[in-house]
Amino acid sequence: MKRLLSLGVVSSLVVAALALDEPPQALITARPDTILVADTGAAGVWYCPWVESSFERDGLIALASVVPSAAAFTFLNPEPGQEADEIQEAVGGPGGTVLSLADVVALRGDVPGFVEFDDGPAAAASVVESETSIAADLCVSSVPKVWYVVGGSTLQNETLVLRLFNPFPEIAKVTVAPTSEFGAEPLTGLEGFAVAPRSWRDVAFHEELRLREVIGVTVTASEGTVIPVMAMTNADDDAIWTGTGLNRRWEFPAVRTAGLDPAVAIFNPNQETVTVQFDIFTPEGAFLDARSELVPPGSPVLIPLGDVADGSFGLRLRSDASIAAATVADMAGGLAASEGVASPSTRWLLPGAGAAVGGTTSLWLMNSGTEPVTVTLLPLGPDAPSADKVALPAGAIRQVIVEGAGVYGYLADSLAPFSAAWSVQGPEGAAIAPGAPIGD
Amino acid sequence: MSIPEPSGDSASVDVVAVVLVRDPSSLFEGLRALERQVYGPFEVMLVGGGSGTKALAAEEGVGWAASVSEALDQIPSEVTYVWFIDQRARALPDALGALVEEGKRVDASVAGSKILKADAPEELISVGMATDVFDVPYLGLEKGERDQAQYDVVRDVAAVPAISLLARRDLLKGLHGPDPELAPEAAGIDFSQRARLRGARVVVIPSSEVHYPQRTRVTVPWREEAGRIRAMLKSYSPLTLAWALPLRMLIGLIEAVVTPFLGRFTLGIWARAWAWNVYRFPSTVAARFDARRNRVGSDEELFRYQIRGSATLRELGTEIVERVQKRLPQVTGLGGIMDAGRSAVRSPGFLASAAGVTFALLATRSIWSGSLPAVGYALPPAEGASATLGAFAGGWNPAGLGSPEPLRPVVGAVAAVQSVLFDKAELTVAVLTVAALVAGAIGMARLLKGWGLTPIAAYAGGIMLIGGPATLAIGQHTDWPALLALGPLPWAIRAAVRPWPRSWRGRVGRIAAVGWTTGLAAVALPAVLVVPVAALAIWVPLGVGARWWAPLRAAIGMAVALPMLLPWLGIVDFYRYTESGQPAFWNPPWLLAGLAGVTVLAIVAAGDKALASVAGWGGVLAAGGGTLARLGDLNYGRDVESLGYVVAAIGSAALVAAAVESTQRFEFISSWRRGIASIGFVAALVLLASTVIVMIPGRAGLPSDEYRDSLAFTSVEGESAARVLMFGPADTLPGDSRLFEVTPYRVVSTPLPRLWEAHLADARLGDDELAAVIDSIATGQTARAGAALAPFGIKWVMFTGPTPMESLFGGQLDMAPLPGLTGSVFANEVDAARAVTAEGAAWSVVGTGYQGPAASAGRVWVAENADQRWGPGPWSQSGWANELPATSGSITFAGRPELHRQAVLAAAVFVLLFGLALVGTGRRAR
Repeated sequence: MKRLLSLGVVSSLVVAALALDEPPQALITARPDTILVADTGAAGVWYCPWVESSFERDGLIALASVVPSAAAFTFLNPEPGQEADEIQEAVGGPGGTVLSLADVVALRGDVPGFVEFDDGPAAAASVVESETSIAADLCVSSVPKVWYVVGGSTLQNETLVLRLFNPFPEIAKVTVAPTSEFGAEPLTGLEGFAVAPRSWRDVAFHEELRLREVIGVTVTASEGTVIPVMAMTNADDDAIWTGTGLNRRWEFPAVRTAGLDPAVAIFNPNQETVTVQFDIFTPEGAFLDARSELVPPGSPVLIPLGDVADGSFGLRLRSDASIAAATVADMAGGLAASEGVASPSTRWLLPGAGAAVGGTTSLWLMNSGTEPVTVTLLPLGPDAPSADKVALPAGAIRQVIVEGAGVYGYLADSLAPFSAAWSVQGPEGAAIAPGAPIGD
Repeated sequence: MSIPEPSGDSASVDVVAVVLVRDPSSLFEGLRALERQVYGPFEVMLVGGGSGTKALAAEEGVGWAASVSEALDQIPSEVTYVWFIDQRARALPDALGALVEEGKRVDASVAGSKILKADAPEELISVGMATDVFDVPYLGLEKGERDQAQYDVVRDVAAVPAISLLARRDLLKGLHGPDPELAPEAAGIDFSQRARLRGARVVVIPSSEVHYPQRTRVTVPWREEAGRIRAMLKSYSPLTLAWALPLRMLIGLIEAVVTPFLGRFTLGIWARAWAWNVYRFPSTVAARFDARRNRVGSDEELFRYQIRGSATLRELGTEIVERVQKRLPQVTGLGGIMDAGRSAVRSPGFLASAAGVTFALLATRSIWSGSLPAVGYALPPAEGASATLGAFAGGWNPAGLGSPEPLRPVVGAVAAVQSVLFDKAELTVAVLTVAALVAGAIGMARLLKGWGLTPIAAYAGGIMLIGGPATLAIGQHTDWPALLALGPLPWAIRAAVRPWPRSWRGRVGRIAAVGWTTGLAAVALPAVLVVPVAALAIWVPLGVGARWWAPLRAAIGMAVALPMLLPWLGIVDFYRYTESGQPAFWNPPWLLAGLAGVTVLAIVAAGDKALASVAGWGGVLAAGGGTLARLGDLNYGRDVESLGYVVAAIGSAALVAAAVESTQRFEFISSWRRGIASIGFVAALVLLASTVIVMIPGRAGLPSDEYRDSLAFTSVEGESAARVLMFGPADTLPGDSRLFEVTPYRVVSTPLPRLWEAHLADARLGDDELAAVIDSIATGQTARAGAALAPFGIKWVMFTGPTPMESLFGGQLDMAPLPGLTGSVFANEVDAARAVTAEGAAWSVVGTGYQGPAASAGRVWVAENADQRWGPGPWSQSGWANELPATSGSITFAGRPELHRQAVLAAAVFVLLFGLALVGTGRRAR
């Protein structure tokens, strides 16, 4: 009896033990490579890799914020062992301000830096002017491990410099893989390229890859993080634009502004050829599938857009695989380049719009949707006028010229998504910069 | 010194008998005995005893004095001798005469009588005393030795007892009589020594016989010991005292360690005696001056009548031999003991026990030769035992960002042991681990031998307990305290199931034994508190022999053991406790589990009745333990899993033992059953062979160290006052962890997390604030994680495995990665310390408090969860943390008095239960 009892109890317990399920394990999944350093719905850091203060050029950093915030600027010092320069500025909310580098680090030359906001949404942009050039670009907040910088050329009288900016306390080791219309362009010394903490290094492609029509660069950080920015100079003007990630859609609200001859540079990092559809948005309306291009893998293509529409227009690229893209436009006395925006948004900050001393600044609003939207434009700055509304029909772009002094940026919002950018154009040169989407 | 001839004239009195009175009600017989003395004339004086004695003295027509010194003052100068006699002494009629006449003859100044037992006058109590150099008396008599005139010779002795002591009056006056501060026996020894220093002879006169009611006088042991020490201090030269006093202290400590095993406790006596002498030291110095003034003898004179060595140690040895002889009656003398030892070494039982102990030592060799691997919950104790005890007894719990919640009982217990072992943390871990496994093996073997198994089978079970798959699982679970619980548990079960003693003292002692062993196991792992009761409740229907009351005894033992878990027991939330930690789930090695099943089946089916019971019981425990360890889906957590392992270990030990034993009983079972039992035996052998998995690495089944090397960089930088924030899979983090979304994390101290940090308390303000900071880092609201983490004292962020958080720290502006380290580590570029002044000066960690340079002004930020009991000085809460003045240079947590009392109670209950258990098993009281 005892034996049976023992065996019975043991068997029951064994069955019970086997019947028990393993509790679910919480999976710690890794996030994708993109490091969210700042989502623009909150306070964050904006990295401005190309700013300078020299005899030839004056640089400034324009800030725009929806809420009152304190901005802490840090400008790296190229001298080894020297501390970075730090300065604080208050930004009203909603408001905008500018910081002229000449007031902080006068005549030091290149002074890449970053801005930390203690609240947000907020954004920053850099503007560099000289008597014969204007360059502007939105600073960077999102910092992926792999960057794509596409566009630019090294034709005669052109210089093309890739800056790798490392504002972090960790040494960065990156691999820079340039390509051109001829395919991969391996250069010595660009694999495991080290960028010291809180410093930068420049790669002059015009010295190594001469007479290339279009350059596309993949920057992969194996250690640390860098922010790449491309700077191009021709006989007429300068242009700066930063790298991006990959996306299947890119929107460029300002492709052709007055007089510019635009082209779009597309880089396909995939193994297969991708088909890219071009949608053109003019003040009168949209031309969907205006063009279709096959973009082979591994080398950038430069597609002229001068003939797709008359007058000003915006562009949307739709691809069947992720690509990188940028627009480059030049004209006599002007050169402008810009990275695109990955998706439309209901709210945008456009820091720097109106901050350039020279030229005429315009806002560019593009509605790639099927419904009309009304955009409220709020100028930001100490002497900014009151808000205004702009009707934006479906499939159209609108240009809003910025008038008056004391405007350093704009807040644009509507109930439906749209895209925004700004441009400045004048005898000195031209520049196009995208807006910063800040969502709802 | 010559003695005047007695005049023989009854009118001249040259002897006064001084009776030392404690209880006037029992003086009658003593006074009648004095009246019967043939020597005369002499007068009688009563000393002491208060007004009652005084009145009695008046009735009897004798003198009275309140003290000996007053009596000496009253005695006229023509009196030659003073005869001190105890009130209960019954002097034979010629006792005084023999003292006086023989004393005169040998020119003695102090003479004592032969003392015989009053109710057995043929039995000797004392014939003078020798002492050792420490003034411990040595009578030199066997217990119950009969008087056969073997000592009937007048001889010099070291001292005579004051039961009957004749001394010259002038010597008494010169020495100011016996020292009134000393207890009687010590007073006699002291007086004799001082007399010798003055050149007096101290003799025993056996022809003077006194009967005394008992072998030893009623006296207070610690007063006698204190008196002996004072006697040394008064009489010996400084050179002698320089070695004799430390030796006496050491011998006292040795005695205090050994005597508990003989049923006595002498530590208190030792401590009080020395403390009394410290307190009385000024008067001792004055008395010493008086004693050594006009001395004509030196220490050699005193040594002449002292035995070599230590009387205390000699008596201890004698008592131990007596105990052995009682256990082994065939053994006589030391030679017999040696022969018994030799034959024991060759016996299978000894070999089996040696195998068990050897296995335990081999399985833990990496721990006792090196250190406990710091991994998971297996963390070394903190370096300062006193700080740990203070934290345990109502102090600050330093886990994470700290809390006032009590620490687990194992922390206090380990610290208590550490305080005895010279505050050596590694030594403590080694001793506890080895002791636990050795005790577990022996205990399991004894339990099984009690059920009729032979030593080889029993120790096979013991080895299985400490090295089987379940124990390996405990180790892999990094539950070092659970390994400690394996030690006392089998003893607890055994104590409850053993034959019940007949005497009440024995029964109380047995319950106490169940109590302290159960309590000790529960201190290590609280969940095992119920194991003895449950195991014996299972034994009742399945077992053999007397067993029906065993669960009740175990339950009573469990109940009396509960206070040992204070103060933790007072605050623990039972449900939270059972659900805390990672969900329980054991995936045993299924081959071994299958073999265990085969063993159960075979032995239950084919073994004899007793073996079937043991195997069945073991099988139920093994299966039950395995089931307990898999209850994670029902929300049971870590400690329940460990409980399951412990139960399974006990069960598998019994199972294997029964299978091994079955081969010893083949002759009693049929052939088909032999075949089946053989299958079970083979399966059990494989299970036993699996213990090499535990033995070979030598870490008691624990994984290899993870934190000493990986966190070594924190000590190189000298940042002991900072913390490390660790992210990673929960089983790679030290102890408990909190969750940020699905990522486990926790904060630990540097340079190595300690045992007291293993378990986190409920989240408090600071923990919530840290979670918010981590959230702000994760969502990109800050790019200066270093500045955000610095107020928490976090100097480093470390990743022990892949987590999404790691990439976020790569983009921080003030967190610099440290290359070349195990794991990904980021250093905070912002100065971070757990306690820091407004000027940025970091204070160092001392225990659970902080120390730094005292400042007349300024305050210190203390990065611990806010609690008003931090001090000294006006405390203020600063956000989630504390601010205190820097004036004292020290910041401590005042503690919770009620928890302190509970901790003291827990220790007291353990000591009480242990003492009762010893007394219950002791053969005689001293």
